[in-house]
Amino acid sequence: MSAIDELIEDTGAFDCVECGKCTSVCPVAEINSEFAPRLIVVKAQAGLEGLAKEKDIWSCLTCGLCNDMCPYKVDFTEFIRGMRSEAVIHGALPVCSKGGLLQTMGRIMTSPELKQNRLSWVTDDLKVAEKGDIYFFTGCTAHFDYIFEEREIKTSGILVAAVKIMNSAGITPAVSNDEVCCGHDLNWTGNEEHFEKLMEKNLEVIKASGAKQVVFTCPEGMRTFEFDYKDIAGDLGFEVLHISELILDLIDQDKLQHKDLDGKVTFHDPCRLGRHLGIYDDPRDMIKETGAELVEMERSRNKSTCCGVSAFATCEASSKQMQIERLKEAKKTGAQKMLTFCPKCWLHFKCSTWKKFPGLEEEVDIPIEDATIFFSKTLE
Amino acid sequence: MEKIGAVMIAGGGIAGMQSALDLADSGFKVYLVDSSPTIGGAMSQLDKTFPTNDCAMCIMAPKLVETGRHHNIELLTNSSIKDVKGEAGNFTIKVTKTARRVREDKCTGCGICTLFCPIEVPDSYNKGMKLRKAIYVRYPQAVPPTHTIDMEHCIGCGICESQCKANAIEYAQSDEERELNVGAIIVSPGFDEFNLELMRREYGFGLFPNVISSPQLERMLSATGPYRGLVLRPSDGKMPKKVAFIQCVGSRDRSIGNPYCSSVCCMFAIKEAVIAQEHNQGLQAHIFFMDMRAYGKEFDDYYIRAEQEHGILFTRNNRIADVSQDPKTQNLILNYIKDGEMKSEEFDLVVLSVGMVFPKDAKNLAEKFGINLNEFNFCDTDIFNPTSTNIPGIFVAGAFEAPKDIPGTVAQASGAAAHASALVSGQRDTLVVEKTFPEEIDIGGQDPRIGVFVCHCGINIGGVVDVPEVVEYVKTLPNVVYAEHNLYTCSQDTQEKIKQIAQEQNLNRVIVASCTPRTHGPLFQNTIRGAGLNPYLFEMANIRDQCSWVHMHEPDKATDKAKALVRMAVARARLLEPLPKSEIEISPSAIIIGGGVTGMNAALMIAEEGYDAYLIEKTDKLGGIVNRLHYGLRGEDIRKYLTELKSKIDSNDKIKVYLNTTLENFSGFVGNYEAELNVNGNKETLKTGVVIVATGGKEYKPEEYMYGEHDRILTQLEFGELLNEGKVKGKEFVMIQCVGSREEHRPYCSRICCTHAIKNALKIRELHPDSKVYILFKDMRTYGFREIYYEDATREGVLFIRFDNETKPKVSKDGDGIKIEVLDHFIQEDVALYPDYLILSPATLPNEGNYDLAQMLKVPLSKDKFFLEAHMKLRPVEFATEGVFLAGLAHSPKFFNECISEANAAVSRACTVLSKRIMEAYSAISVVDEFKCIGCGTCEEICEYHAPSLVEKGSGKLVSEINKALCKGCGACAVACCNGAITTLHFKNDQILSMVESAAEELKRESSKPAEEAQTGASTSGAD
Repeated sequence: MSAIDELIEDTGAFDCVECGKCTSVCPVAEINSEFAPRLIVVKAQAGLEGLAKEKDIWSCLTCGLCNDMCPYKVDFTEFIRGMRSEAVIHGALPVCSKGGLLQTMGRIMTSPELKQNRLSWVTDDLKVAEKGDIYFFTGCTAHFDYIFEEREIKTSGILVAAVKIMNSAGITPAVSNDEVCCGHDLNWTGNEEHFEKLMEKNLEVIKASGAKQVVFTCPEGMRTFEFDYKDIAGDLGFEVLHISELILDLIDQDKLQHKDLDGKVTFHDPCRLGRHLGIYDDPRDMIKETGAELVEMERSRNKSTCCGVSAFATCEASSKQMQIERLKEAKKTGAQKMLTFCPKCWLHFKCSTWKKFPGLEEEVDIPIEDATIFFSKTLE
Repeated sequence: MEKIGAVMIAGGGIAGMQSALDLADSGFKVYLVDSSPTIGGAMSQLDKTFPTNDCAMCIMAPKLVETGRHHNIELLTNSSIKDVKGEAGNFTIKVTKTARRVREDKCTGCGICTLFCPIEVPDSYNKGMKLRKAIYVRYPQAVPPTHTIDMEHCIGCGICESQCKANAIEYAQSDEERELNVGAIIVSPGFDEFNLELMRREYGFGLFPNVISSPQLERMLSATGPYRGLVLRPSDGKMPKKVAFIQCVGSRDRSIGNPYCSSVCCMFAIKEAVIAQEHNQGLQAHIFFMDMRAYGKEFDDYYIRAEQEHGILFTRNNRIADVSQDPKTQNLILNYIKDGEMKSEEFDLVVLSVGMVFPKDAKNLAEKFGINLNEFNFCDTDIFNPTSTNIPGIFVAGAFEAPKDIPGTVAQASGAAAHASALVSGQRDTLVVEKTFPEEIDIGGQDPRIGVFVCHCGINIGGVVDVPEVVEYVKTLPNVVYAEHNLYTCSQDTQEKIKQIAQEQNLNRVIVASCTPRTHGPLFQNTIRGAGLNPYLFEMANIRDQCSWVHMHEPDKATDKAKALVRMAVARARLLEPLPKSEIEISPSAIIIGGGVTGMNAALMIAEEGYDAYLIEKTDKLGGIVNRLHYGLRGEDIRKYLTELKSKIDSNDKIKVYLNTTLENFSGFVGNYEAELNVNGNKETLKTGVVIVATGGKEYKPEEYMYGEHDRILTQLEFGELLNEGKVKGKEFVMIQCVGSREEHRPYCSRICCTHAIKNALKIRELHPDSKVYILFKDMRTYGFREIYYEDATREGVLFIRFDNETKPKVSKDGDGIKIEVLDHFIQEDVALYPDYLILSPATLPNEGNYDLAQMLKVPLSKDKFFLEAHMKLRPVEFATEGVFLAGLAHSPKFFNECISEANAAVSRACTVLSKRIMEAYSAISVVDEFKCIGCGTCEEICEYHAPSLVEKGSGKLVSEINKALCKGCGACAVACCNGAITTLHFKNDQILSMVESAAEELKRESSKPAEEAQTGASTSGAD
């Protein structure tokens, strides 16, 4: 059995009866009529040569809207991920953002000689430790400050906010300078080899910390641990937890005292947090705890659309269009802010508000903020 | 243990009713238990039925009434089963009858209580779109008509009690325990609708007001529904222009746990679309679907008509993913793909074609009865015993066995009834009471006293014809002593009322002005018999078909015509005479024509029922086409089954098998048929009470796709045999579907071929795991649980490529091999395949002999040359000719299990004849005035039924004599008789001529009235 056949079987792609549900929800197909998830499956089934070289497998955002809709439970995103590994073997590569800088960073981090300065965001007022029950996995979030400097957002603020919240509840999280990229982007751009190396490093670091729980602010990292690490490594020996779950837990146990905020906000579900991990309610409950009014966009929860780019690959004209549509939707709710939980969603949306589109300034003009940072303001 | 001649049926929908009527008419006591306060089930909520667009209530109401007042059926409504003990032949069942708090023996169903009840609650019968009171009856025609107090909402104010003239309210009534002793049980609880709340997020059901379910639309289309037959948007009451139907909601969906196909929704949606477009002018329906599963008899014709004549839009391979709402207009936005382009379109109304799931009560019933359920909680059966559960003596029918349509349900209901009655056939007639009517009143010498009942038929008539005006007019006609109008004249309460009024007013003629005597005549005849009147003193005027339907847009003229029709009926009624009844003896045996699996099962069941069976087979062996099948879809051993069936037939001394035998001649009438056989060249004559046609069908020999030109191009049957013998070698297989089916010259779907192909494809994959199988198809029609195997095939890697009549695959030779070119619709590329085998799925054809046999039996054929049953929905296994039945492929293409259900069903229907030793004959026949007859023989030549014959009378004079049992009263002889010697009773010259004269009469009386009175009398027509 060929690798593609195996992939088709594992992901249930054969089960496709061409009902077309996926195509009609696909955010890419909405803009690019050439693209259709079921078409890729049909082509793969028919064994059409050169499929692995098709641009389409890189156009897919792996946002999972199709998975969520499929009546036959075809795991389309996983199918695409697998196809990408095949594509790379056939020499078909994606066009990556920033000249592939982020993927390169990932590969560099696999080096045994690696020397990092990963914790520069930890200011004196923050309490962190080397060991502890709770490990805070920060991933690449802090690096984006420099890589995307022009966008004038500090993603490291997310990490600071998270530690402040934990400290306020009496938790001193373990963090590590030896931690590396989770490998999400490599894994989704066909580089399984380097991905596994990163995984091994991270698991070693966490093991050394003695943590029983690992907290994430980044949905990509969490998804990667929860599914991809477990797929390869089996039981990880610790629990994976999202910051919103932790916050709600702490409030429940009366460990986290906070003030109320005013205003009206809306929430964008990151695909990794929502459709991939199935976490829809916790972020909303957490936002409601702040006292702010939460209004929903027309497409929310599992119907939420995409920020336009995933794994920092194939940022196209259609990406921009998706971002604008989403921002318009957010603006239409009358909210003062759009909150989200993913540093990449933040970056991507910021790209569309930062360089204002002529004629669209009004419609897309809505501040975007990370939800962890938003919550941390209740502590001030 | 002693066997009991009674049967309990759990579930009083159309299945339960059919089983009950079959059994009660065959000499068994029946207890019909239903958890609802009324019987009628899901069919009672339908407006129309496909593919004939018959009004569901109109065809069902006679059955409801018949069930309700059958002297051998006891209804236990509002009841649930608490406990079951015993074994096949003798069960003891405990039933709890929940208090209605209204006494069944006193309530007349008049409805006064509901007028006064102050509490209004959403009406579940109308899917929550209408309100009902806390004391209510489920629907106007409900049987029993007894009202029920809904204790959940009743506030106990006591108003109903004070208003009830019949003193029927019994507030303190308590639940009642009943113990039933029966020989057999039939379980027919029907189905439930998939819970659309689970689709709230996807389709906004319950969130967006203009997203409704298909049963909700059905209620809207109904005259008794929330908007009197109009389709209106729930949000603003406006008429929708654009209506989208989303198919497969809750079906074919593994992600929600219902991977099976609900079998009926495709046709249901087409029907609703057609009717909605008829009811709302300017409405445009658009159906979004995956495969169009129009697999039943003449379903594809309906589908084609819907598209080409009604202009309904169909978009295939589109499962709508989500529905969003424009908050301002509350219009709904759907995204779909057409010609490779993503489209976004706004609709005024969205209809979700909701799937069928197991009935709520399934798990409870399974536990109480000990019956096994399948993985989807439907009743588990196998293809050889489609109506048997795992517990002997407990049988199953209808949608609880698998999602199915009405004819399939009715056939199963009769099939299950056959099993139940066969089990206790020795106890026939032990627990029943004879149907008795009061002694007939002698009306000799009385002046005509006519009562007229004019029917609104909901809004079917009343929406067009001004019914009260007709009543006022009728009252002015001579000899009319009573006239009134009814919402539904056929409902049980009205029937009782007619009886009561006939007695109070000393009526000696009764007229009903409503629908057609074809369906309702016998019902009303029995009603007046109940009042002591001869049934031939009844007359009917059809003011529905002939007034409100054909003159829908001219209400004034329709009303005038209705008046004229009733006036004609009155004219004739004055001259009607009572006719004496005559009786026919029944010969207790059956001839079964066709020795395939259908005929064999029928013969065996006839024998088990205690009658003689003559099984006629034209070839030299039994088994028919099944001799060429080896295994079933689930791997069932068909060969073993056939061998066992043959030996059961051989060892049964009540069955006589005639091989190499054909029917040469056929004569007689119900109960007394005579068949002339050619047995191996020798003549033999058989006398028999009934005939069952089970002549089967055959596989089409393809003329296309190079069949016959290459030794590896085979039909599915041929290939199946080869596969079974282990002679298939190869790696690549291509199957082409719809070979000779769904073509312009043969538009019907052969129903079985999709599943047959899947079965063989899975077998190939099992035997040759390295092989590649392609199935080229038009629509995959693996309905019901067969869908699971379609899914299995996709999972097994079988590749499906769709084509249509414009892009059929091209087959050519490629050296010694085969080459197939086909356009793959999705990738829009031509695909070339070089298989080792090309397997064609040919049409199932009617037998060539059908025409001659139909002539001989005097029964009709459908346009596709299959036999045509008496009614496509409710009489699937019988002909209009009494005592002649049909089953299996003779009717239309169908599956093994369906054939067996039908074989048993035909027997069950036949038993309603055979179980009566003596039957009442038709009285309105032709009679000869011997004095006038000159013995010319014209009548003999003209009669289609061979009733008249010339006989020599005492004086040596030849005169015509008419066989009372053969005569159908058609009147052809009376018309042809040159000397006026023949009279057709009930249609005498003066009776007919009086109607003609009355028709020609102007509305004289109207114009001769004083001016003021005339104005009120004709207020609507005079308004302009």
